[in-house]
Amino acid sequence: MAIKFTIKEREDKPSISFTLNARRTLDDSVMIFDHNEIDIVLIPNKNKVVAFAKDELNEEIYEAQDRLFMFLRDKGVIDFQSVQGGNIYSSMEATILESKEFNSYDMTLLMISKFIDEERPLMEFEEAWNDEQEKELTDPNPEDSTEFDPEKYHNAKQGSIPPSGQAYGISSIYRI
Amino acid sequence: MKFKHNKKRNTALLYEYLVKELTRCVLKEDIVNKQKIVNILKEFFSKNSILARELEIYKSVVEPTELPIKMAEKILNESKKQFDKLSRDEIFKEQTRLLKEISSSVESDIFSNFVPQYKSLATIYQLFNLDASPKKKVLLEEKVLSIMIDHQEGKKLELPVQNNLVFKRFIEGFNKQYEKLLLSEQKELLNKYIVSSFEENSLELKVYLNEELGRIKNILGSLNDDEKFKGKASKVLASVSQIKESKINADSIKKILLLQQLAGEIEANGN
Repeated sequence: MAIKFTIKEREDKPSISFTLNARRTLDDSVMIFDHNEIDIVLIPNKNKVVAFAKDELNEEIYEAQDRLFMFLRDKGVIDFQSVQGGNIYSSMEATILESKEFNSYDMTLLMISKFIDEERPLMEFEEAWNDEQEKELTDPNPEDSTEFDPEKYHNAKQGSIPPSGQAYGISSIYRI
Repeated sequence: MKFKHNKKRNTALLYEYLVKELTRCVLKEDIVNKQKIVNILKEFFSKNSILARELEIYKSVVEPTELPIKMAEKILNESKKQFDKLSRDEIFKEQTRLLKEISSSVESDIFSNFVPQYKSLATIYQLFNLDASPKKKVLLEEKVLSIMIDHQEGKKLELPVQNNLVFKRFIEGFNKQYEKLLLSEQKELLNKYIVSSFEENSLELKVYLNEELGRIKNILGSLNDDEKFKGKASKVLASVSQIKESKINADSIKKILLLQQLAGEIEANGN
């Protein structure tokens, strides 16, 4: 579900609006589902950002998690020393830095949205590549396919040599 | 027993190929080809057309019905009678016209589409069209009857539908039995685990477990200061760390429930 967030950085500056595919939980955490590889969760009452893999952990997922926390570190919203593996499979977490001047929660949300924008071309490329691969397998070109002939390939009995037959005929029989 | 079968002269198969191609066009958003196929279907399979009447006979045989075997035999005999009344020359001419129309207006090769009922439709075609000996005809009839009966048996395998009342009674029973046995955090974990089966990526469960395991680790870590429990506590802590090495499943949930019980006891006894 798309949620529209509006953030006011300072009183004298205009507010910033952005939309994320996210869900807010009852304890005010925000779950962001925009990324292809990872789900990002912002937990304000624990002051944490956690990234979970959408699927099995692999190199690409680890790299996506790494890119996220590097980006947040570069933007100065997380404590880089706090970046660590979470308590469950394929999770990584970091602590959000506190600020007296800005609302750290809003700033982290804004930076996550900017990270998603930065990753979008890569995600779109991956999606298109996967679609192309799937298309090649399910709907191949005439060059890569043969004509479908169920009578040839779906017979109950295939080939001329029965699989249950003896390999060497009567030569295996022992005689005195 | 081997008979010749021409898929391009099997009206039911031609219809199936067209419908599959139509579905493919709709999914691909190929509006031009979609409209061409709709026009062909309207022209050749409109009500009272000879091909539509032939298709109706095929459908009455191949489509699943909840009838006893005797009734299935009667349906098959009646279908054969009705098929014999149709003019074969007229059907042949219409099929030729249809094939010409398909090859001239539809760009893709519709005959490469996969039809799951291909074998059944081919057998029915042979039964209706083949001038074979009585013995072979009877054997074919038996085969068609077995197709009709197989459809009925397949339908019987459907699972019974569980309604809300059954689900409510199950929850009441569960709550009654485990109300005093389980800790509040264990109940919460079970709740999240059950709800997670309806979620796409069970993210709420993952978030909860990430925090809950952190809490358990802290409680167990406090035992490390005590010389008496130090060795055992580090063994339990090692098993907590093992949970993160694999995906969450029923076994890891059972393990976490036990760890919650242990953490609860440690807290209750003030370490």
